[in-house]
Amino acid sequence: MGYGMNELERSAENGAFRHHRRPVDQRALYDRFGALAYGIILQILPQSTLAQKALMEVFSAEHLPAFANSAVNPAIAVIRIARAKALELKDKAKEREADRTEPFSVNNSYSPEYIFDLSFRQGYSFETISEQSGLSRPELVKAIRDFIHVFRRS
Amino acid sequence: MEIRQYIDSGVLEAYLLGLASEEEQHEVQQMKVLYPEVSSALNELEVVIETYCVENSVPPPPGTWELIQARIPGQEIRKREPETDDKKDAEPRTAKSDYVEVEVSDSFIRVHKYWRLAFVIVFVLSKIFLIAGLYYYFKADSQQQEIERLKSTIQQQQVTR
Repeated sequence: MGYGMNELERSAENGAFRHHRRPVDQRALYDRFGALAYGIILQILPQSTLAQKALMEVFSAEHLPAFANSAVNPAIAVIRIARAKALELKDKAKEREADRTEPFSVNNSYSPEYIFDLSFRQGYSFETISEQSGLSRPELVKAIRDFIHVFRRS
Repeated sequence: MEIRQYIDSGVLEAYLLGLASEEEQHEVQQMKVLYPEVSSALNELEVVIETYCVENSVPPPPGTWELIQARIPGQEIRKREPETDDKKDAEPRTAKSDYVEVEVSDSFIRVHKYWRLAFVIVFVLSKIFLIAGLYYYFKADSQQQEIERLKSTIQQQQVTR
C-alpha cells in the first residue's frame, strides 16, 4: 500500500513518472488522478450521474493491470481509460448515435481545436472526420499536435 | 522518414491521447525503443498532456471513492467455497470459519458476537452495583447522623438531670 504512495509522491515532484512496479494502490491513484479523470469524463459526458458512473468504472479493479503495465505514465493511462469509458457510456446512452446521424460540420472551418474536440471529446475516428471534412489523415493528426502545442505555448 | 519530421507529424500526440490506430501504436513503440529523440519527445508530451488535463480537472462528487471501494472485488466478505473430497484427504481439516479472511485497512477489530451479550451483562451489573453502592452509602450516612442525633439527645437529657 505504502509503496504505491511513494511512486505517486515522486510523480508530484517530477510531473510524470515511470511505474513498472506493483502493487498498484487504487486509493492513491484515485486521490492523484480522480479529479483529472472526472474532468476528462465531463468534457465527453456532461451529465453528472453518468460521469460519476464512468469515473467509478475507471478506478474499478478490472483496470488496475492497465495502470500497472501500461507503457506510458499513469496519468496518460488514466486519460485514455477515462476517455474510453466516457465514450462507452455515451454510446450506451444512445446520445452519440443521434449525433452521428447528423454531419458535424456547419461552418467548414476545421480549426485544430475543433478537430481535437471531434476526435478526443466526441470520439469520431480520423476516417470519419476525414470523410466529412475532406482533410487527409496526416492533416488531422497534425491538427491534434497543433492544438496541444497551442496549449503548451499559452 | 526523418526523425524530426516523424516527431512533428503529430502521431506521438495521437498515440498518447489514445487516438492512434493499432499500426501507429506499434510504430511509435518501436520508434521509441530505436530513437532516443522519440522517447524524449514522448516524455515531454506526457507532461504537456498531463498538465492540460490537470488544468481541466474537476473534483469528483463526494462519496465517489466509497462507491468505488464497495465495488472492488476482495473488499466484500466472501463465503469460503466448500472443499472437495480430494482436498479434505490431502489436508487435515482445521477449525476455520466460513468466511475468507480479508485484509481491511481500518481501525476496527472483529470480535465474536457473544462479546456483545457479555458487554451488556457487564454494563447492567455495573449499573446495579453503582446504584446499590450509592443506596447503602446514603443509608449508612443517614444512620450515622441518626446515631449522632440520639447521642446528643441522651447527653442533653443527662445534663438536665
